[in-house]
Amino acid sequence: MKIVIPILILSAAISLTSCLDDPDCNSKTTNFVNIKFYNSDNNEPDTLNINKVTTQGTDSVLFSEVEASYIKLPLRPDTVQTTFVFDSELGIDTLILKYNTNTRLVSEDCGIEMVFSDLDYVRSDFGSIKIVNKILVEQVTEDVKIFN
Amino acid sequence: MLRYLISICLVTMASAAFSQKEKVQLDTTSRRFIPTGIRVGADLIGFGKSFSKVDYKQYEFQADIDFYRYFLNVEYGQMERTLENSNSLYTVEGSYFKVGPDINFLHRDPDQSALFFGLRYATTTFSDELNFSYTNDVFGDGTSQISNTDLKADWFEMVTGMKVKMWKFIWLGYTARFKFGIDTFERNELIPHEIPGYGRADKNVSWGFNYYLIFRIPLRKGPQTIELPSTDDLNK
Repeated sequence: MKIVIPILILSAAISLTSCLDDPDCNSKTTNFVNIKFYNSDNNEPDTLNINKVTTQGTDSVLFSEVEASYIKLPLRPDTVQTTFVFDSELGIDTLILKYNTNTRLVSEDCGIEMVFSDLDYVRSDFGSIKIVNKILVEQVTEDVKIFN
Repeated sequence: MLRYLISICLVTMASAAFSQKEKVQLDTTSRRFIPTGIRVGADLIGFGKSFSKVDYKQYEFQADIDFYRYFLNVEYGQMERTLENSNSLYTVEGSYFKVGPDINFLHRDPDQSALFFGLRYATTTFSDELNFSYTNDVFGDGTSQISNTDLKADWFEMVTGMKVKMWKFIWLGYTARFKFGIDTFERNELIPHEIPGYGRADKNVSWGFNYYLIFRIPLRKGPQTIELPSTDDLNK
């Protein structure tokens, strides 16, 4: 009888420790960076007439023929730098953003999660630029401010 | 809740052992800090999971030596684990070492059973690797392989538990652990999923539980005890 109780406890403990471990799957990370345009004279939100925005690494045009106060640009997951070329009312401007990618396995059920962090710029042809958020998550609606 | 149940079970077993014979310990002040024995144990939960789960191996051993009402503990473990789903494969392997003191609240027990509270410093060296594929609407789909080699992590644990003599040199014991003070490696290209000896790497604190089968090697005779005659004997 003495041996039965320890065996029961042991099997209960094994089953319990294995199911306490499951995380939930709601990943909040994104590879999209939110850029908002501002007027450099009065720091008020501004709009930009964009003919098109292209990026190196793909032929597709990200935006064309828009008048936008903010745009959402995707970062490349396979490198730590993405180059965007803006063709707008201001002429041709290049914006190079750099960042780190941190990848983790959340769980077997949820799969992986990629975090884009340490966002910064390498080159910007715009009047001035300010990085206001360094880790990209879905809830944040503004990561970069561009002043013209 | 489970921990309370186990405590109750073990306490019942221990007190059942006491009630059989009324023993009283004699004073042994002069030699009390000389160790009476070494206990060496293997974690049955780790062995159980290694046996019952595919892609999971964990072996953990513990040893302690007594100095009066204090124990010095060393623990060593190894783990190897593979996690897999349709678009990723993660493997982690490593070994860990823990050391720390316990204080025993049952040091007057003639069987030398222990109800202890203690602290551990834990350290691990581990490597992990993630192979994954991703989908991306703009830049196209891709695959990637990232890894960490010989990462070092350390943390602290508050532990409590019991060790109870079952039969001659065979003991059983459990240890519940509260683990804290770890670096979660959020800045690495590959953020570890699991840290050997600690658990899920995304948690700043973690709980653990071990159930040990223990062998006790006596080094010298413990405190001398005398048996008191029971009331039944006196009434005869």
